[in-house]
Amino acid sequence: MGNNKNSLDLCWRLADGRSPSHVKELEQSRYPLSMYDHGLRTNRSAFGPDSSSSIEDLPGGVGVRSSRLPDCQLESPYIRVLAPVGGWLHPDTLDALADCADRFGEGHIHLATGGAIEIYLPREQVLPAVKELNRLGLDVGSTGDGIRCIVSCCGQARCDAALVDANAIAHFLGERFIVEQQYPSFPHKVKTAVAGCPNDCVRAGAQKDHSFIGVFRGGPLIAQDALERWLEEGGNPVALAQGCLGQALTLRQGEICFDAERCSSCMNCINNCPAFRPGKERGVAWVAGGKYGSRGPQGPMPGLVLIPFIPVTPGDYSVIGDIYEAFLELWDAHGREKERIGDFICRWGPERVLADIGWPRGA
Amino acid sequence: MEHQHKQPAGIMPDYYSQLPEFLRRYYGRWVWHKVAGSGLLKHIADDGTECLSVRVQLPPAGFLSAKTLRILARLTRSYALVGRRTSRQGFEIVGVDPAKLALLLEELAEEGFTVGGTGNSLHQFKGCTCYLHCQNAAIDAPSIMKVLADHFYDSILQASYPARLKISVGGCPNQCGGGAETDIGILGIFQDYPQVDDQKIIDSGISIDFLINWCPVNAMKPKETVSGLSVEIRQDMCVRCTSCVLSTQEGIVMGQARGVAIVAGGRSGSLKKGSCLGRVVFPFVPAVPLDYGELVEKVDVVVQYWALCALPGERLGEFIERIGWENFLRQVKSSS
Repeated sequence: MGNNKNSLDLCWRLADGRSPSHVKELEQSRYPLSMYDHGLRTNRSAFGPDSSSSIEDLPGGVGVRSSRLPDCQLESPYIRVLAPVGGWLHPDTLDALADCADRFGEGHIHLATGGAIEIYLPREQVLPAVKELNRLGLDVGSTGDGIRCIVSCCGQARCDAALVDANAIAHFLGERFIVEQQYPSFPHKVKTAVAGCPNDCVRAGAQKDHSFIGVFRGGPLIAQDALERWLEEGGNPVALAQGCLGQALTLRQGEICFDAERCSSCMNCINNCPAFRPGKERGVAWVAGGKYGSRGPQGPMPGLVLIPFIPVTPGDYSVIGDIYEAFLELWDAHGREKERIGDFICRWGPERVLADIGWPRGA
Repeated sequence: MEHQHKQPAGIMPDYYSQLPEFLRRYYGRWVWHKVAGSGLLKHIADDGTECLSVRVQLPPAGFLSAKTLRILARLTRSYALVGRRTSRQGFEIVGVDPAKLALLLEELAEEGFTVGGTGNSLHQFKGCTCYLHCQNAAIDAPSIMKVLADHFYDSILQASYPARLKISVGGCPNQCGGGAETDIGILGIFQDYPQVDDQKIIDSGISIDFLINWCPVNAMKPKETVSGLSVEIRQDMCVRCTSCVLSTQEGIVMGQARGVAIVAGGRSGSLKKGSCLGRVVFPFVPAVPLDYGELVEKVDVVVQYWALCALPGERLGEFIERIGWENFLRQVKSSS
């Protein structure tokens, strides 16, 4: 093995240039760059499907990539570390991840697109690594047909647009459904995100199977003095009105008029002008079925808004958890093997889904 | 529920303990934010207090060495309060001490980091691992992202576009890396039809019923062979989604004819006209590593046309909808 500079021509071409390089990162680790170079040269990955011989004593959170080039690397086991919601990483956590990657693995991490953090490591290091992660307050999960790493946007910890405490809701779901994140047993994977507002920076609507998005009702709050100040400072009222999705904002003789009936609570005025703030009646929408991939009868689809408004009291998220759980039970009982949630909802029918999970409650 | 295993330990990592005292104190009190420069975000609280964040561009596909992680930890500790991975595989250093901002930017530059990707610029690339660790990939997303990031590098640093621009690269029809969700998506696709190795299917013992049912377009039917039951794929129906390939280990494989489709106009969230998935602009572009000249040229044509003709604030998808898809396709195809 070894990363002999002369034989990895294609790899090294990616180490140059002004933008950050993945090859430069991996060169500083024990990742076998010859596997990557072989993939680049043959236009086919040197890694094979996850082998069936999994890690004993670890039901989820781990996988073993097989190798099409066993002389170079026999296999490539990896663990998926559940990340704190909101993407928040204290410097001590960054150091701890670096130490784990160095001590047990190849000396690098992978920030997966789904939200988990992967560490590649030899088979015999998997259990010691998980033990150390547990000691640090971290754990593994998010593999196979289970709930994948639950994520949220930065939420009210830093964002002015967040309507609900997305971090707390995501963490609440993460704690209540920790077993389902670690012991995969559903018809297929479940990706979940909690977005603080309809801007949906975490793609809860488009990408995730089973999500909640912060929403408000009753129109935005408009501070007239702040609006006048904004206009004086050069704010553009035409662009503000044009940005309104429901055309609730109009200009009449230079005056900005707001028609509450037409407001779709889309956030555009709030994003564009500091004089607009979200209304106080807050809740979440339940959005389910989103997926990017081409698999399944429906192919890629944005999620469906199944419940447009669930009132939320800060600190009490049990209703959200109950809806989340009731739907998982329905899908678990009636979903076909490898049927993603979006395909199931389209086959079952959105109205029947709502009736079967008992929504509206008491109806 | 009782489990015989001690691992995993049932720990949902605590986000709150990651947060510094400052962000706990101002939790839910932020009222406005603005881009304060390339890669600089300023959030403002109800009492006028500011929180400064620096956005650092990470390498393609979120691969970081332990060494780089430690540098990020050290810089965050010395000059700011907490780190944050973004939903696009980028990194933010949050709660930067304004008095130390210049020093932080200097050190980041010394360590070779790129600061940028805020406001009307090219944001962090997002994509999957492909030939770095994945078996399904049709193409290599990380090297495509690297080549594109070098080509468009100045646009990451300067907010010179009409609106923000996001590019995602997904290596296969699974789209773990994304693509259809954002302004420009580059999607790995196969051109051949899946090839069935009857003996491997039979030896694997996989359920033929399952295989037939999982095919989303009913292109698969059972096939009797001398050694047992296998499957046959109807090429006139197959959409090359590779579901069957994924579930059969190596029993069904795709050929070597691959490339990318370039899609445009996707967006998420209710911003502007609401979320929609991107549509195909170039159905097939070759993408043999690292021969990406044609791919870069086609992405460039789309970006330049939008940058030249879009109204201020108009995202690529909104621009295309305003001028019409037909018009847009004619323009970009005649210039590429």
